[in-house]
Amino acid sequence: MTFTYLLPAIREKGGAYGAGCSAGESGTFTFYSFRDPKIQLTFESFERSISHVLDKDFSEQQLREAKMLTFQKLDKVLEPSLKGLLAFSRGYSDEHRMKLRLRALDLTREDLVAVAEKYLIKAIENGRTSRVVFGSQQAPFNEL
Amino acid sequence: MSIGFLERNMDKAFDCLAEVLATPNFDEPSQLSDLVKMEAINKANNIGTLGLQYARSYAESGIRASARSFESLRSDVFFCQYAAELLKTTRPLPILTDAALHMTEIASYLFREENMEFAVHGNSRKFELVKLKLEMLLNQIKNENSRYSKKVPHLIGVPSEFDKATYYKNFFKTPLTVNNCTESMLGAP
Repeated sequence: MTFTYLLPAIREKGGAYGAGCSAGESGTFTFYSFRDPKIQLTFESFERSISHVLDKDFSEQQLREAKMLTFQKLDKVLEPSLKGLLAFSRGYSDEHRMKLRLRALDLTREDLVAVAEKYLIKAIENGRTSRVVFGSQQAPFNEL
Repeated sequence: MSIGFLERNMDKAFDCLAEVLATPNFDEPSQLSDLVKMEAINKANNIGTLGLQYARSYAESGIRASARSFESLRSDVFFCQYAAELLKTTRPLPILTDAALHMTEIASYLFREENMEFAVHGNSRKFELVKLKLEMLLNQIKNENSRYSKKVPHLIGVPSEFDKATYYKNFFKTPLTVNNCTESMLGAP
């Protein structure tokens, strides 16, 4: 979503310095943009990016590339102290990491569409999202 | 808290741990004052670069209780207001003495038997020695902290999940000329 939709729409067309989305460790999913001259159009782009997934408007190749990016993080070499700290403070074991890897590897386009349908678009449609802007005093905006 | 050290420095490392965990001493007003001022300046200087982090952590904080722990805007605002109070007064000593007292009190509740766990990642051949050192450290904390064995169940007040999520719609006006926008939602049940 970040590379195929959000960056072209919000950075290249909208003039923001950057944009993206990510799933947090706490179970939240967040869209973001930074150094962004626009507000309303950016929020519309966030919503359109989900429609983009729902319409299966992405190729297998793009899914493979997204997986590669995910594995950059999942397979990052951890220094022993950090590995121990994560195992101790959050209960992550090597088995957990392997399970997550395999699930990420098996992910299909249909899985992504199902997640977007079940969680993301419903949250937006029902207004169950937090919208927070840390922005300019001169920003012309009516409501978030 | 975490500490990393070479095997040959084990004694020194445990001296450090004992100083922090067994005999924490916050009663140094001038150093506290310097730390508060430095940190406040640091936070004020970084508002521009941390805008996205503030917006994001604030947006997520109403959705999941675990995300609330990482919310940085409220705590930084509180800290800067505290620093402003400290800077504008001509008699900062009572404020700093009060802070030292509160921190000592908090430390005595934090460093209790039911509240502490230790994990060691290192050479297994040295594990027995580390275990012995940890037992000595715990004895030292027990001797110094009168609350060490006290059970305080009422302190566990943070829910692991919110009964009902709060969805914020906030615009924080800043001296910036650009915006940091975030939209957060529940990603998984």
